[in-house]
Amino acid sequence: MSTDSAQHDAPAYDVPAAPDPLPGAGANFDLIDPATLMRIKGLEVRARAIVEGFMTGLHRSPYHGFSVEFTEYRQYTDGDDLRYLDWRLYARSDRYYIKRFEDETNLRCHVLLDASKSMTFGSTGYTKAEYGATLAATLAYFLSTQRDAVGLMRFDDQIRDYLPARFRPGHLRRIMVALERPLEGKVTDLAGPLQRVAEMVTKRGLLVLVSDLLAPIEKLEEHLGYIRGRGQEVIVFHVLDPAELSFDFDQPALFEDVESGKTLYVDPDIIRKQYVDQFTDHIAQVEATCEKLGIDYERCPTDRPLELALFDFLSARLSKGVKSSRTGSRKARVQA
Amino acid sequence: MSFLAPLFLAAAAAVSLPILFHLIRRTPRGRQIFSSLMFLQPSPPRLTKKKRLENWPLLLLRVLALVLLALAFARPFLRGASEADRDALLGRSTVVLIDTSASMRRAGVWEDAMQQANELIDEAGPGDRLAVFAFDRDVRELVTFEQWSQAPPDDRAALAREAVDDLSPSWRATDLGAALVRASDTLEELAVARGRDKAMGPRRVVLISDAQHGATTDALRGYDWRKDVTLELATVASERAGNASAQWVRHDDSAEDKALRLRVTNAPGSATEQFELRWRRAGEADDEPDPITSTVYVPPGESRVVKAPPAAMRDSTSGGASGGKIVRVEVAGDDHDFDNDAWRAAPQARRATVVYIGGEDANDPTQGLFFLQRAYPTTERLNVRVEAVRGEVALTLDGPFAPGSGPGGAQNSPVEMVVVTEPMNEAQVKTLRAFVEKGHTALVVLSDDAVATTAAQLLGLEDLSTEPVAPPQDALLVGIDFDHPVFAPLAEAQFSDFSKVRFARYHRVDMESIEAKMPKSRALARFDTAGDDPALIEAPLGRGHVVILTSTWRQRDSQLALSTKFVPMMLALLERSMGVVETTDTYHVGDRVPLVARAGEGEAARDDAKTKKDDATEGTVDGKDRRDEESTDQSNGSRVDEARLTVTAPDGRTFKLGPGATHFDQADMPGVYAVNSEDATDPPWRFAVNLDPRESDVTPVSADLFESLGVTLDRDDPEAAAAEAKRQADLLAVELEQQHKIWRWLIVAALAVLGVETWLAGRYSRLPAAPSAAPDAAVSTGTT
Repeated sequence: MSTDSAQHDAPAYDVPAAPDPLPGAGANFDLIDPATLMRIKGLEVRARAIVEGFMTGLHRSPYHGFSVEFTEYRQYTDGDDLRYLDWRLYARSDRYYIKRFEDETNLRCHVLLDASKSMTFGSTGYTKAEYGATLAATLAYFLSTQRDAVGLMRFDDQIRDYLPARFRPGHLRRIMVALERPLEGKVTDLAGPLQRVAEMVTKRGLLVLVSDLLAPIEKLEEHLGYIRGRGQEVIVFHVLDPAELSFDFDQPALFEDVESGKTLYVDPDIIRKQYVDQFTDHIAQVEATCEKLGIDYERCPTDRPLELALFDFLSARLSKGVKSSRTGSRKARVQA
Repeated sequence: MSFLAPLFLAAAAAVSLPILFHLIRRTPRGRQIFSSLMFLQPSPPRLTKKKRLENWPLLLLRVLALVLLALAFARPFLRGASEADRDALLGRSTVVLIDTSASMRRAGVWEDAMQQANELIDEAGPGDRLAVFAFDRDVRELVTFEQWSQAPPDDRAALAREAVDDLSPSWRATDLGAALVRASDTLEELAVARGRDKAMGPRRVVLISDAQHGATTDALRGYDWRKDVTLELATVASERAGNASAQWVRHDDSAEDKALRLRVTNAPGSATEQFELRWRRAGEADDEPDPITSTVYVPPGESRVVKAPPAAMRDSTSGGASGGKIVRVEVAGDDHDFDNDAWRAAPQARRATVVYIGGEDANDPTQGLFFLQRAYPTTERLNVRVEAVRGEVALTLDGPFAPGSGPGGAQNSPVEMVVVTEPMNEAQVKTLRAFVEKGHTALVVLSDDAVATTAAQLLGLEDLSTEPVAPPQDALLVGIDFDHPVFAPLAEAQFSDFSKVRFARYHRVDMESIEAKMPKSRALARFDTAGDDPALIEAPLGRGHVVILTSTWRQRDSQLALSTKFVPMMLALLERSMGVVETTDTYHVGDRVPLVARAGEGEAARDDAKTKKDDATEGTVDGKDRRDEESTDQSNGSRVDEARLTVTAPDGRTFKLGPGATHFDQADMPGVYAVNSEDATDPPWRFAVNLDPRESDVTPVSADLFESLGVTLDRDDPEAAAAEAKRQADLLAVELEQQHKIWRWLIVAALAVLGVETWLAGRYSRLPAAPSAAPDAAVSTGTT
């Protein structure tokens, strides 16, 4: 978790060329350069490359096995279900204890991928959309290997594709095909799709939002809060192009909005400072909103290796597990 | 160098534009796709550094072209070249109008006016133009602009002052409107002569007048007063406002009360309300120890009509004619005495004899004579006797009616008209014919066919066939010629109804046979029977006329004598026959007094009479008298023929009028004038001339009146004066600029520069682009 915060404190646009090694990872833990990765045509191949590389590295991780078993004993109190009494312990100690286990059910995860026009921008040789799709594919593949149910939703100003969360043969394939399908998105409108998602996904689970969040954030808090209120875990992957962060254009030009088509004469040298300030401000607001709602926020510049994103995902899940057990928000169950 | 439109020089600031354009980097042609413009603001175009100004020659040419254009639009001109003209251009043109009407005779007013006039003349500078007009009823040019300009500059003031010094107030009325129009027109002629588009100094009319309320301003109504001609009022006023005046009220001959009546008017601002009237007889001196006086009370602003006191009327010696010998009434007790006298010519009754040829009983109401005798009542001005002649007696129609030829003698009563109702013998016809040819009228009444023979003889026809007609229904008069003097008094709509005049019998006259011989004869009225038989025929004979009535006014023949039309018709016939304009009308100072109209000049006289009728505005002369004059004007001056007339003015001056004189124009002061014919057989005819009553209305008018008539007043407004001065200076500038026309050369130069610039720019554009130019394609769009 300390790695998380360290990474978040770094300047948004100052993404290191070589990402931080994972904590505890050896020096030979190589991350795949996204530019190289993106040359792989098949999305599933890309995802596998990342996940398998990640898994190899994971073996050296001190956090192996997040499928948690026994957690604690607790003194029986009136009203506890007698089925969860540890009779053996009672036999030994003549005391009533309730034995508590972590729930190790399969995870239901929905990946929400922003397919709006603004995602088609990219200054690194590939677009934010490609990066986002790869990220989504990676997560789906990873979760599938864990036998968790994965679903997919793509949206612009409304939900365009919807694959419900399942774990069954061929489902991953369908997700991959859906992710590879080009989508003529329109403007980014987070409010509408989020509201719709909250209505559609009724079972508790995990919601991964992959978006550039280039939309007014006034209603973001309201709708994310609504989803959170329905018991969904939310992780936000904020996909950003390095050019958006640094605005390192050097020639004045007519800047054209991909979504609206509006043009604006902009001289980068003059506007850069102001732009960076405003953009940073926007990111900070999004981050603050997520913080407030207990949502994990991961910033993903497109030149950042995807493994790090996957690692962020896992660490967020882990921290969420600890947090939720502390807050008691997650359902605890005693296994008989 | 000055500029006509210096504001356009500000356009020279536009030179900053090409400089700016040259400083601005060329706009990148590239477009940069970006994910969102949410966080972008438009950037102002960036300028290159100063030392990087590109294309210096082009820039200079463009700047030069702009500067030249701005200069051309500012329309430069060179001042000072014609300073000498400037004075002439900007000098003031002034028409000084000096009122010389009778009201200027009030104490102190004239002196004040003279002083103002002299001050104005002294004020005139070398560049100014001055004209001096005097006006009362008419405008007189004392010094014209032409005379002023032609005189040496040093002598101009003397010239004008001399003309002004000779002036003195007249007795005439004030036509202020005509004077102002004349002055304005004169200024306008001056401007037109100079050229309408050229600069001209201020033009003004200075009115030195008492601007009295009674002044006529009608001429200004409908006159388009030019806005740049200002009227400056130099009003001279008497300190005392009170004024009373007297005018005679027209006497009605038929009124029971024969007393003279006088209207006394008191001015609105008057302090006095009670006045003494002194009724003076002819020849009575002003210091008559015991004048006939009466007192009248008139509140300020009102008028009263007073009757002559019995003492004045008792004085009468003229056989019932009222007023006696009163010739003047003086109003005493008011502030101003210029209009205190009302003059009056003692009426002189005119005697006339109408000879009636017919043997009838004068007391038989079924016969014509009975009515004719009663048709001529004795009035103040006319005393008519009707003498009946019967049988074949010798007629003496020349001079006083000869006693013995009829009943009763008549002294001093000339025969003026003959009415024929019976056949006459040849000698009588010859006499009558000679009488008519002198200008008199003979009325032939066709009482039977025999009279027709007499009529034929009188007209010189061989025969006049007549045929008695008794229409089954009574005949009425139609086709009446109301323009003819006989019917003219009845021309008004309320009098022109002849439908009650019925004729039971008449004689059908062959009008064609008369017209064949006498083409100028005509039917003045016809009957409404089949054939349109003439009822009243007029045939000129010599200078006179023969009028034939085809019926009679006897009761068995017609109701003419019983109708209201009879007396006016008979009176009109007689007055036409008498021929002399003789009236006791009161004239106003400056009026043309008609004396006599000779044969053949009737039309001219009628025109004059009509003009006078148009001028008539006051009730003292009413319409009926005008018509009387008209009718008498048209007839022939039988009595005064070629006689030379002498008019004696009230102050003793005598005017000898030539033989052709029809009017007397020199009535330039109030009083009684006497007209004597040279042979002096008749007593002198007198007429009175009075002040125009409007002249007595001396209340000053306010300046608003002039403004309401559209006159631009000079209100001594310094702002307006400054604005006018500026306007003139601008006009002068325009004129100078139009002379120089520098702007044309500037435009030509600008076009030339632009031509060079185009050529140069074309050359530059054909050159290969500099390698440093516009590296804007370097920005990648970044989309895939």
